[in-house]
Amino acid sequence: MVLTFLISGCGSETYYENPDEMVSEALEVVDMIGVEELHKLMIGEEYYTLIDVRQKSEHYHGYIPGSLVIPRGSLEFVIGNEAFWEEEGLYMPLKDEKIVVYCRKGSRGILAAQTLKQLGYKDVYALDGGWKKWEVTYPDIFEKNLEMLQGGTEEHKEDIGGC
Amino acid sequence: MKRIKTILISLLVVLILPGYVVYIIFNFYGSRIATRLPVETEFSADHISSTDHSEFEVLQGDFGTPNEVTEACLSCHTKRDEEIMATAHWTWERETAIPGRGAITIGKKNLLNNFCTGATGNNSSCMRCHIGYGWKDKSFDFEDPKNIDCLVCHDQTDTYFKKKGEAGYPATAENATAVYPAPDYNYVSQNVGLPRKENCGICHFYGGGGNNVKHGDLEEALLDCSFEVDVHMSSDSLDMSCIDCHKTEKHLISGKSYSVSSANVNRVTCEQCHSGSPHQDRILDEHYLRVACQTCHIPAYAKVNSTKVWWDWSSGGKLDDEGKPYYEPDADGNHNYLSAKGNFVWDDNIEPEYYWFNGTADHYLNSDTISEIPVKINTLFGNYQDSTAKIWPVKVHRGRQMYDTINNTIVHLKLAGKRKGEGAFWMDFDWDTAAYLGMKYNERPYSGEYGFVETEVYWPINHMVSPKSEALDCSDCHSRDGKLSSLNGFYLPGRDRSQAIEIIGIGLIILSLAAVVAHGFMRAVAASKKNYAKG
Repeated sequence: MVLTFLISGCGSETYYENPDEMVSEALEVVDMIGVEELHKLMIGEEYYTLIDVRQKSEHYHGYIPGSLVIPRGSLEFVIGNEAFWEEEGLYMPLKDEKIVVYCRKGSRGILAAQTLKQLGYKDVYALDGGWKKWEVTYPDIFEKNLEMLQGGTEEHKEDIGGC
Repeated sequence: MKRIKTILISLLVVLILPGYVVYIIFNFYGSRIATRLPVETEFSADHISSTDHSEFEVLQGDFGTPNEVTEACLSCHTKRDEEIMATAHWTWERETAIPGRGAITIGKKNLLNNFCTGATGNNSSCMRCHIGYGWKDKSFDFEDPKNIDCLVCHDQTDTYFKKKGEAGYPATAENATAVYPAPDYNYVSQNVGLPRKENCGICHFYGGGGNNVKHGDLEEALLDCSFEVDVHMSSDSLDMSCIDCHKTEKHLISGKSYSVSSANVNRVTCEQCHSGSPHQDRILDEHYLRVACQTCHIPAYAKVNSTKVWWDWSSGGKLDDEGKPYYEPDADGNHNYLSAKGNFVWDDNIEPEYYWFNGTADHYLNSDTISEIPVKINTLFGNYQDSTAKIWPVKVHRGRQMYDTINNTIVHLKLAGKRKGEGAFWMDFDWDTAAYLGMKYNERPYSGEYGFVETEVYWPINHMVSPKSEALDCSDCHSRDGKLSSLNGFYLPGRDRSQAIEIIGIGLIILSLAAVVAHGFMRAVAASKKNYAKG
C-alpha cells in the first residue's frame, strides 16, 4: 500500500492557485540579477546575451540597449534555432554562456529563465524588477523603435499641454 | 528511601520542568496580547440632505455667470464666504514656521515643484484647480466673495466642470465644447450636497496634468475600486468618501500634502478611528511608536493606474518634420515623450521608499539657491534620534528641470498661454523666453543662461490601504536585504549585526557547552569512584 502511494505520488502534477505561486516556485531555481549588475555587464567586457521576453508591441515602445526581443511564447523554440539567430545577424548563445532575460516587472522573466534552465542553459539570470526597474533607475539609457510597431501608435486625442 | 528520592527527582524533571517551560512560553505570548480598541468613526458617506434646494426661489432664476450662483448660495449660507476665504483652498498659502527659516508664508501660490515647475504665472491652466473664478493674473480679488466657486465642491450632478485654460471658470455658451459644455446652473445649484469623492478628485486625482500623475495613491480608480486596492474607499466594503477621514469644520478640511505644507498640524491620522493600539498584539502595537501605520499597511501604491516617477524637461521642445509638437507613448499607453513636457517614466504597483518623518517639512523657496544636487524640492524632517519621527512610506518623484546657471536658481517656467508668439513654452517651445517670462512674473532674477538639474520631491503615502492579509510581514523589514535596508543610523534586529553582541553570544554558547561537558565529565568521574569504592 505504501508502495502504491509512493508510485502515485511520483506521477502527481503540481497545480498552482495563481501565477504568483508559479513564480515563487520558479524562484527556487532561477538566479536573479539586479539592474546595477546588468549595467556593469553592459559597460564591461564580459560577453552575454540580453533577451526581452515581452511582446514585440511592448518591446518597441522602449527597451534596454542591446536586447533582442523573443516573446516568452516562442522562447523555447528559437533560443537554439540557428536559422533564427542567423536571420537576426546575431551570435547564438551556447548553453554555458551568460543569458539575461527580462520582461516588464520581472515575473515573466523569471518563468522564462526557468524554461531556459530546463532546456539546459546553465548561466541564466532574470532581471529583478524587469524593464520598469531599469527605466526608473537609468531613465536616460534606453532605446525605442516605434516604426516597428505595426499600425503605428494610437492617435492621441487629448490636449497635451496644461493641467 | 534512596529509590523514592530518585523517582521524585525524575518526576520533577519529567513533569514539572516541562510544565514550567510551557508556563514561560504562554506567559511570553500572553504578554503580547493587547486589548484592541474599537474602531470609532461616524461615516458621512450616506449623508442625506434635509434640504431640497430645488424648492428655493433664489435658485430658479437665470444665471448669467457662475458668480451669480455664488451670490445666491451666500444669500442663505451667510458668513460661509469668510470661512472659505480663511482656508488654504482659497489662499493657496499658509503662514508656517520652518526650523532654520522662522515664520514664512508658503503654498501653491509661491512654491516650485518638479512637475510643471509652479502655478503662478501659468494661471489660465493651473488656477483651474483653485476654488474660485477668474484668478487669471495678479489682479484677482481675493476679497470678493462672488469669486468663490461653491459648485466645484458641492455639485452632486457630475455635470459641472471648470474649463481647461479659463482660470477656474466653467465653459460659457460662447466657448463650450463637447468635452466642456456650459453648465446648467439651475440644475447644478438645485442639486448640491456634501463633497463626494468625485468633487475632491477632480483636482486631487488629476494634479500635474493627468490622472495619478502626482500623488501615486490618489487617482480616479478610487471612485470604484476593489477591497484589495483600498479597504476604506472600496465600493465592495465601506465605500468611504474623502471627508469621512478628512473631517471638516467651518470649511477647514483636515489633512495636507507635504509638497506644499510644512507644519505638523491639522493632519488626518489613522488613530483618529483606529486608536494607537489596534492590533491585539503588544509587539505590533509598540511598532506604532516608530513606524507609521501606512508603512506596513500600504505595501504598494499606484495599484491600478501608473503614476509618474521621472520627468525630464531637458528633452522637451523637439518638433516633428512639419515643425509641430508630437508625442510618443510607452507600452502601457502613457506618455513617454511630449514636445511640451519632455520624457517621462511611469510605473505601477510601486513599492514605496522609506524615510524617517516627524510631520514637518522644508521646501525649496523661489528665493533659495541650489546647494545640493539632486535639489530637494521638499525635505521631510526626522531621523531615528528624533523621538517624534516615524518610518513612513514615500513616493519620490525625480526629474530634471531648468535652472539658471548664473544665479544658481530653479527656473519658474511660463508654460501655459492661449496664443503663439506670447512666449508660453507650450505654444512657442522657446526655453529662454519661457524662463524669462516665468521668472519675471514671479519677480525673480533670470540671467539668460540656463541648464537642467536633477530634482526630487517627496510625497508621503497615505491612501490605497491594503487588506490585513497583504500587510508587510516581520521579515519584510527585519532581514538583511529587506525594505528598510537603506534606512541607516539605527539598529534594526534581523537586519543589523553588532560584532560585540555576536562575540558575547557565541562566547556564552561555548561556555554553556563547556559547562555541560565538564559537568558530564565530573559525573562520570564521580560515578566511577563510587563503583571503585563499592568494588
